[in-house]
Amino acid sequence: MTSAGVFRWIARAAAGALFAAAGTLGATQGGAPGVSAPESSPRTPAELRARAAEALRRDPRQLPTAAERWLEWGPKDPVDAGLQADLTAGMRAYAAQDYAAALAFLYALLDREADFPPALYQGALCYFRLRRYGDCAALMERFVRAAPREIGATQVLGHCYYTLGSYASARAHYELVLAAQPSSPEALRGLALSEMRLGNAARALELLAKVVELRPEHADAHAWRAQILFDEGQSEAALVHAERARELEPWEPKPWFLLSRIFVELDREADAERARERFELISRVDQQVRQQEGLLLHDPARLDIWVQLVALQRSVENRPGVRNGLARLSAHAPADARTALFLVDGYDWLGERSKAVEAARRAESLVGSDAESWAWLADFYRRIGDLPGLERAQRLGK
Amino acid sequence: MFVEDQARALPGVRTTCGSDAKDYIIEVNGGGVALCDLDNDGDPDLIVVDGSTLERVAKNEPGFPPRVFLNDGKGVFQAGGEAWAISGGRWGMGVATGDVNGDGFVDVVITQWGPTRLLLNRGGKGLEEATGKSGFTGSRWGSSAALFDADGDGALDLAVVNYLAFDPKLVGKPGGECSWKGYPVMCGPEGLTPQHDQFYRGRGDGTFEDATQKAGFVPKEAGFGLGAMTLDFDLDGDTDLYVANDSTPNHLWENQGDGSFREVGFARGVSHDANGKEQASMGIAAGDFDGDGREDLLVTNFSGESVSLYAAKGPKSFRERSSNAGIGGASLRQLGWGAGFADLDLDGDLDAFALNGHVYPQADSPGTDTSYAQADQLFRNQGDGRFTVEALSNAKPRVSRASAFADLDGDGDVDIVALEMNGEVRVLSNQLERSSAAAQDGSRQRARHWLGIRLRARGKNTQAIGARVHVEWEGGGRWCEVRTTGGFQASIPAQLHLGLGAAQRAKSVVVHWPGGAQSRLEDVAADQVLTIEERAP
Repeated sequence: MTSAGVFRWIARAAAGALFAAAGTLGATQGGAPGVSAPESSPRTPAELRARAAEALRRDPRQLPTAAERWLEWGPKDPVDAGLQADLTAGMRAYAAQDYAAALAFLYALLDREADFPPALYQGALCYFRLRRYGDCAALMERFVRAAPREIGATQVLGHCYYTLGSYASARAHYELVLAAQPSSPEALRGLALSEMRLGNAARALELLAKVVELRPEHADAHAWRAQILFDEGQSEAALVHAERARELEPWEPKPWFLLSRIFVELDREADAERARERFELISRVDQQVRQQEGLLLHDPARLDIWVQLVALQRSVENRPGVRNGLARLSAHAPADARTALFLVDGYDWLGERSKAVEAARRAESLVGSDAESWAWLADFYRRIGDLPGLERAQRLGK
Repeated sequence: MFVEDQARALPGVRTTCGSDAKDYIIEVNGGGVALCDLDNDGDPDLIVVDGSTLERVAKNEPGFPPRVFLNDGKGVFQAGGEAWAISGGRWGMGVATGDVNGDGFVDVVITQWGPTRLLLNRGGKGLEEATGKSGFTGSRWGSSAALFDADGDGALDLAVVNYLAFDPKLVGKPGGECSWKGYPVMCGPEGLTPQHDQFYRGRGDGTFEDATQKAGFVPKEAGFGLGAMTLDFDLDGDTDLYVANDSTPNHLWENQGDGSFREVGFARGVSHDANGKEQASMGIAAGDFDGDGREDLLVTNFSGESVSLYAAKGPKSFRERSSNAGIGGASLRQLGWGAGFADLDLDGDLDAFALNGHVYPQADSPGTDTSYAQADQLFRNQGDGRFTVEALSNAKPRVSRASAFADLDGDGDVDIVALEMNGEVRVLSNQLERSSAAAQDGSRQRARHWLGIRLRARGKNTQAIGARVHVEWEGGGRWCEVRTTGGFQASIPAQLHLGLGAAQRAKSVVVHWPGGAQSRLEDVAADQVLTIEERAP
């Protein structure tokens, strides 16, 4: 079986199974050194899920307000140990991408300590990740009122306004953020897109040029420049930026879409058709990725979905996407052999040899007597020239 | 600007499309609505296409019958009575209208979850079922349909837009198999199989021949078809067809001049949004909102996707301009259905409207950033390529679906009829003030003159569907195209309706008839419905 064949075999098998994933509870109960577990900590995974579900039903606009208490607050201020425990648990859940669980801890905090700024901020980020932009804005607006000195860190509020279609509010907020953080590429990008939506194409192009100055590899900024120029009828200029965006992120559908449309305009029909074919392939994958990511938002322990996501990202050679998915799978320390082999194969494909070997070692402890898995491992060790590994896999596979 | 007037105009008329729980996708699109002059008395009558329930289907009971309501000339609709009665089909969806047998009376096509139906007009005295001899084939889930003369032979042809293969036994069950924003919802359309659309060549005698394959009306991949709109997008003299697809790229069928088609949606820039994302499109409006002589397209989409405004650019292309036009952000949280371009304030340029309402009752749950019932929206043209977004009416938010528009009460402004999901048939009456004092003070904003144009063509396409008309008046002018397609599951009268602003006369009216002939009238008085007949060569 070829490497690619094994990859597909593992992906298919893993996608069809529900894994006994390490529960989020384990990831959220530990706490930082010197920080005790929160008193309100759920005792069982079921209790955590119930609290998470309850948190999702809450309306952040109904929380009590106490912004004036925090006006002097700063991120370096010491935090009461009781609050810190919930905050840490919330942040750990956030890091594990279990946003509902994170909200459960953060709401517990906000119920005890109204408008506690770190909880408002982290809660807003959770809502943003959950694509609940109105709720995100509600919490981040509270944060801005409670901690106005931290305005420079609140570009996500601009993102929320933008996503909700409130482009004038988004523009106003990005300007506030940029007054505090003039070199924030994401705030500049947000301002540019808001200006574009408000019909100010020239200003948008100026701002996107600044983004690219700050971060030349910002593929999305290149793609937006291409789009605006194309809309303005400047197809030749648009082509330069669309090609740059494609070079930087060839797995993204948008540059291919733009390229195809630009080529049509330039009467380069064969190029247009090639770009369109690539666009359609990548776009199909992108649609599946979005669907799967939507499912994960509400069911973050579904390792089978992570496996599918990695497979999808790999099919369009999205290396950052593959890396992210593998990291997520590794963090859950899958207890089944096929997912373990999937990790080996993924890291090997990325060329991250040490991680691949580490994953292979872990896989060895999980494959049991499955001869096909041992043969695959032996082949892996042979390819990378790890003779002890090869010898071990051949011996144990008998 | 509009007020709900159904208590006077159409009391107690409701439609049903499945249960209120909306457990299955068959229950969410609602029925159809047509405005057309069935009895040739000069005012638009109303056809309401009703649905069914899964319980009725399970018991093999017919769906709720489509109903005809005749206009008394003042915008009050009376049930058509026995002569206009239509039997219940399987599960009614949309409607198209046109004179398919060239007898001078408007006939009716009804789409269903089931076979497409044809009802022939008996000389303005009633409708008779003619499905059996129609030549319509198969049994799919038809949503919208369009009657137009694709091959230029003078007889109307038919395109039927189909949605998906639905079988309640095979579709995911309610209660957790499918989710949206973390809430369990009905399944589809993703995961279900889209059905190909169909094209029928009309013989001009009320019968049709399935020409789907012969006409090349088969895209590379089928879409989940919902909306249909006829237009001559490339101004080459034949009628093209735009199809709005749910969750799949939209299609633009370029007529090759002989009634065969080539799908060019991607190349022309109307298949995706400006970012290359396919959208869940429902309704379509067509009209030249920016006065460049080519028709533009407005497409209503799912919540989280703004209305798309595809502005014609150059000889054949389009650019998506909803944000530049000021309607992108305001439509982002709405899920739109019925839409139309019409000069709602009679100031001389085309405004637009969108009727909204979500598919998921769960949209009222926390954190969805949208709602099940939604406000109607008016996009008022500022005359500079931008629109202001206003509430269309004083109505509370509703779960709206298909809509059609026409001057219902003969007062010179355009009114709207819209279906509410499992609720009333809404009549939105335009309350535009047009006092003679306002009309005489010369202010473009306040003077509200208008001109209706009804064409009578020679041959079988008696309503001149596909004709293009240019009207010029002091301070303005506009191209319009005659059609009966109403976008989503709807049909509008073939009569044109233009606002002339302060002008009390049109300097000229030029008709480009479908057969290629031209008629020209000069110095035409405003505030009348003008009937123009095509003369023999």
